[in-house]
Amino acid sequence: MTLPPPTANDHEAAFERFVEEAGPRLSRALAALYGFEDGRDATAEALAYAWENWQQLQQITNLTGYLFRVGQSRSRRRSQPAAELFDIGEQGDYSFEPGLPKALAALTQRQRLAVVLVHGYSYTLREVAELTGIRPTTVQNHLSRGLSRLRSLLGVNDED
Amino acid sequence: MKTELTEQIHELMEYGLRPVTMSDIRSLAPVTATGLPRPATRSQQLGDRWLRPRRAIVAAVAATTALASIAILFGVTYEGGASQPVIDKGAVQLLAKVANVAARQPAPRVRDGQYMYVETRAAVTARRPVPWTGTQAHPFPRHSHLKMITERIWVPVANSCGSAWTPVGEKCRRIGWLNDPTYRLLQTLPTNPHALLATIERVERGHGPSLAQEAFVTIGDLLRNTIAPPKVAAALYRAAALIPGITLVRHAKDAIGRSGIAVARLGPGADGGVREELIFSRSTLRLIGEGSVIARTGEVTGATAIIRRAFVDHRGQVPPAGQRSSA
Repeated sequence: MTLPPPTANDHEAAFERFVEEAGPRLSRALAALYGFEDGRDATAEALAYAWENWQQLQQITNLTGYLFRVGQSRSRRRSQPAAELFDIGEQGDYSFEPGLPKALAALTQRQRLAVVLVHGYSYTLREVAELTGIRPTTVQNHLSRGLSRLRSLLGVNDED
Repeated sequence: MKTELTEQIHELMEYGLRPVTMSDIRSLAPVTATGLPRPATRSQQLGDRWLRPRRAIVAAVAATTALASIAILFGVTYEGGASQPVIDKGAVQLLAKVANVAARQPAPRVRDGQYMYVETRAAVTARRPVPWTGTQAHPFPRHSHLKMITERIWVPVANSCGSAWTPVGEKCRRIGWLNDPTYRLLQTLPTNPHALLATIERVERGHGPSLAQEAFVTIGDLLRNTIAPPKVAAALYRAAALIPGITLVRHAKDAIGRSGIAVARLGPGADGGVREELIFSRSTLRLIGEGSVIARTGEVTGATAIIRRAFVDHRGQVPPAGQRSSA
């Protein structure tokens, strides 16, 4: 028996499932790179691109990783000041170290991505590697450097 | 304040992240194909090295853990302090010798359909945080736990296209680029060390806190992760010798405990910075591995040992033990 070709509704349902599943990963990764606002814009644009080209993109085996690249390419035109990357406003109900947003913003993009995904979201090095297309050991290198720099920036060390 | 860095970062991100909804996506104007990551010409190689697709380099990573080697890494001692001389004659002389050895290697005959096989053993920091039980703030996990992994990668000699990373509807840049090179791209690199360093700096400019450090690390990546043509390998070593701040480390060990002599450069970071080392065999003057060490404490935060590099006919093929590369 031959199945009928997928309809527009089928494609839309599949895309919505993809957004639900991959959207958060893209969003976290691109926000780690570009900050909350630009990261969100980059995520939206990458997913919009995915929707525009949904059928064509079915041949991509690592679609989330591919869209991560699309998001990067959309974001290179932006230049938000580093100090504003993780702007949390004047006041808020949070319990993290108040200096953390600026300290995180002071890391390199590579360090920040590794630190946020691995330490903030418990991704494995392999998962980060698959998302970003780089080797786990390279992720590890940037993770180590990033953590070291964070400690320095926040004036905390392991012996405290 | 929460005491774990993991929790703090997670909370910050969740605090600021706003999810992208379907209505957000639908409200955007259609994104044209120009939004795709385009194949860069050599003059356009401006993106982040590590954020770019490594398609085939993503290849199989066979990871096996062996914590027993941790002791080897912590037994390593390092020389030198935090200050960096502009020129360390010892380092420059060592790199000159290493470059001469590399240049004398025969150029391999390589077919387009082949792969560069690179097998390394690497000591990486375990991600598991140390439980905090004290009364003072200790939000950061110690990264004193290293574990050993084995990495095997197959990098195409000529064609980087056809992988999951090939942009749809775009002409793929077949030979890769500086930070994700095929052998054919390596063959196009300048063999004049000044020109080569300028090329590397052009790509790395704007990334990381120090252009010199980025260039040094890039050279290390190129030498470790590929099999560079002899003249290019020699040029890479000579280019490294032009980078200010390199120093000689007389006693270093790679990830599996092999002793060697190293050229290092101190990068920024806490505790006096992190020193990146290219470690060479004393007897053969070949690159045997890399190391990363915190300057003030001497703590090793990562290390690599090159086990095997060779050209193979297909992805997944493992060359016989003892087969060596020309780089």
